[in-house]
Amino acid sequence: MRTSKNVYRAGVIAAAVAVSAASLSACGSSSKPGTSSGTKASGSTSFTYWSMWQQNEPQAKVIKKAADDFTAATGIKVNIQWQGRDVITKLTPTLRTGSSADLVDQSVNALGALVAKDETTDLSGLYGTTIPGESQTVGQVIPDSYKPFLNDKSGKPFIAPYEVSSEGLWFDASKFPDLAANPPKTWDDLLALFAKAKGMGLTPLAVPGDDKYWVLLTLQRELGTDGLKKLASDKTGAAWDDPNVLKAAKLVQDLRDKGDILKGYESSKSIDEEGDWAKGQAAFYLSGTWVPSEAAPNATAGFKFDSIQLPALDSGNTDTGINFFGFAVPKTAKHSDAAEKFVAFFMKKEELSGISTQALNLTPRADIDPPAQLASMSKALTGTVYADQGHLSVDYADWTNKMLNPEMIRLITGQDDAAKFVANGKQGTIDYWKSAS
Amino acid sequence: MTSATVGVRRGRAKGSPLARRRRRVFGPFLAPALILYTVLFMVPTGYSFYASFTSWDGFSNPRWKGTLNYDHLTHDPAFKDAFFNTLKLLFGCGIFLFVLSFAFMLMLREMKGRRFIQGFIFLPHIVSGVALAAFWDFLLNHDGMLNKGLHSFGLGPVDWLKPQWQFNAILLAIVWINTGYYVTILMAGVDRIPPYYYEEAKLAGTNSWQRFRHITLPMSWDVVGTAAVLWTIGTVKIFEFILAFSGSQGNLPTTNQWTSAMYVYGETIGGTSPIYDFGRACAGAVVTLVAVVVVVVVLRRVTSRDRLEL
Repeated sequence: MRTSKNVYRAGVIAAAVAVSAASLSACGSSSKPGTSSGTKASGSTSFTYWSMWQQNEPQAKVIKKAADDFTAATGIKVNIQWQGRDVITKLTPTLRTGSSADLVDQSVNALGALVAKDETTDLSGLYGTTIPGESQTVGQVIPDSYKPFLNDKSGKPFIAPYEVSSEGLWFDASKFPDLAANPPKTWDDLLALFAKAKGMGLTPLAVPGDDKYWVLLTLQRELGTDGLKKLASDKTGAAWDDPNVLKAAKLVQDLRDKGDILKGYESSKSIDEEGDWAKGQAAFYLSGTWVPSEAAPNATAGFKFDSIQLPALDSGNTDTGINFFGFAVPKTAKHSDAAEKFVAFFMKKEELSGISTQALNLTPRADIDPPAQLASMSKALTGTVYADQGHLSVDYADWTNKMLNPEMIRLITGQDDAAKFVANGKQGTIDYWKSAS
Repeated sequence: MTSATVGVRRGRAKGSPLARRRRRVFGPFLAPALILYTVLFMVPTGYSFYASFTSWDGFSNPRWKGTLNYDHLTHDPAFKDAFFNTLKLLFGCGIFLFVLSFAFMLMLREMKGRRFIQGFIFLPHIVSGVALAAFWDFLLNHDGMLNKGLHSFGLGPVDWLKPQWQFNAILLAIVWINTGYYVTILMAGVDRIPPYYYEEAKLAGTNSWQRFRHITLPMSWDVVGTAAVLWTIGTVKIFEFILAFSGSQGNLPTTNQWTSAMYVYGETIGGTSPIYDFGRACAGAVVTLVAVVVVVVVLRRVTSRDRLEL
């Protein structure tokens, strides 16, 4: 027989080590301080591109073809690595240890952290570059209304967009043939539309239990474009006392109370609801430009994808939110010259058209026809646009993740009513800023 | 002092020739592991402890900010959620898991085909957490297998995954995933107990509970203690199941479903617009580490017994 003191000691050490390893693997560490700009070459014969797409995605196929065409035309080799959506996460440690990528792509929002830390290259030169074989520059084919959202805080462009996205209320145009031409102009018109859907034997709405769009976009319509930012930035919480916040929340609560949403939605995810909507179980689904391509495999025969925007409310706001996916050049890139040449090449109408024809998404070029499913959305984006979702996820990412998103989900799933949503939002914002300061 | 005495003393000090040779190779054998361990574990641990006192975004150099990150944690509702959810996993799941594992162990001990059943319940432990999360969702969602089953009996549907219940579904899944693993560990301890103890106890007229209480438990107590420590350490690493089960299309789960590991992820590189607050994340990790070390120390004290050499 012997005592277990050694086991005790070993247990403590093992615990300490294992927990450290677990927790610190996410913290990570690097002993190499600071970043430095890479040595920029002027006649690079190759460059490395980390892409947000997986190889089998349509966007990847369009990009791969452009890269092959580019190599054939210029002799510059493109080393593409299909990194997936967390490409920026993978890029981050390389910014401290020396660049691994000369070119990356992601959404404006995901690139936001790099931009905020001044880790991307000013693309003014690229914007002034003439697109090969065309007479216009890169900057000239991008609509001026988009440009404020493509610049860093000093007004210099950091992203060259190749895909544009937005949100809308999706429906099957074979069931509502005149709707795109005559969208509801008021909230009452919208409710009348839902009543019409009910008359056709359809549940009006498919809404995922983790949905934020209904609350967010209704608030946006009620408060105006800057209203959401006020909710986030007012440290006293007084912005939540605006009666229009309660009014917007009440409109959303009423949708739920009236039973306009597919049963069981509280315990569903967006992918489930999108599928149910495409199978014809509900008439409308509020979501992004990816819906037609994503939902197509589940769609009933003859399903014709189309969308409308939510109607104006008290603020009169009819703007359309806009989001971009595009290229950025990390500051540490050693072959930025070749990377920028490729971007200019990809912006050619001939190459970029693939994003519309193959990937079924919108491009920033007005002279490329949108896919039929996105024609209404494309038209909406020719009007006034604003940074998608009020840019909250970049400017107030922490507040949005911790405060707003959970509260919006509590409202849409009926855990809280409109009054509680406002009370929680106010107190939560006060508490957030107290702890953040 | 005679030379003989000196010789004896030297001999005692250095031991036998075999012991001396063993001592000589001890260093060279230990060094590579020690170096690797220091570089891969101790240095990052130390650096993270330092980073917890800084403002650090992972890009630029950390800036010293004293204990502000720790102050923040005391006010941060997301950290409170994460910390209490980790405790729920540790104690809530832990108690349920160990009771269940003991029940399985007792049932399997004398059962025919026990290896097959043991393998069957062990299976979830070796499957990827992401695949298990997909299965769990497939089972419990509104149109899932469970509700379809209920429907065939004219019952339901039940919103198993409504937000108020979602973390409970996670707790249940964690028990399901881990039961087989802990049954295997406990069985290994029980298998060492000589059968004649049980035979004699049976002859003495004991029932199953008495045999469990007076033979199984005391004679496998050290294994139970080690399993409890393993579980404690394991709980702070539970992460991918929750992310895959409750997150959606790159979005983080809502904070009421965060655990300590999820907090570290959410404060750094998680979500569609990451926050990159490595300093605060490291502070959260350090607090969790300290809490776990305390729990482990208490556990070892509580479960400390003289071990029986069988």
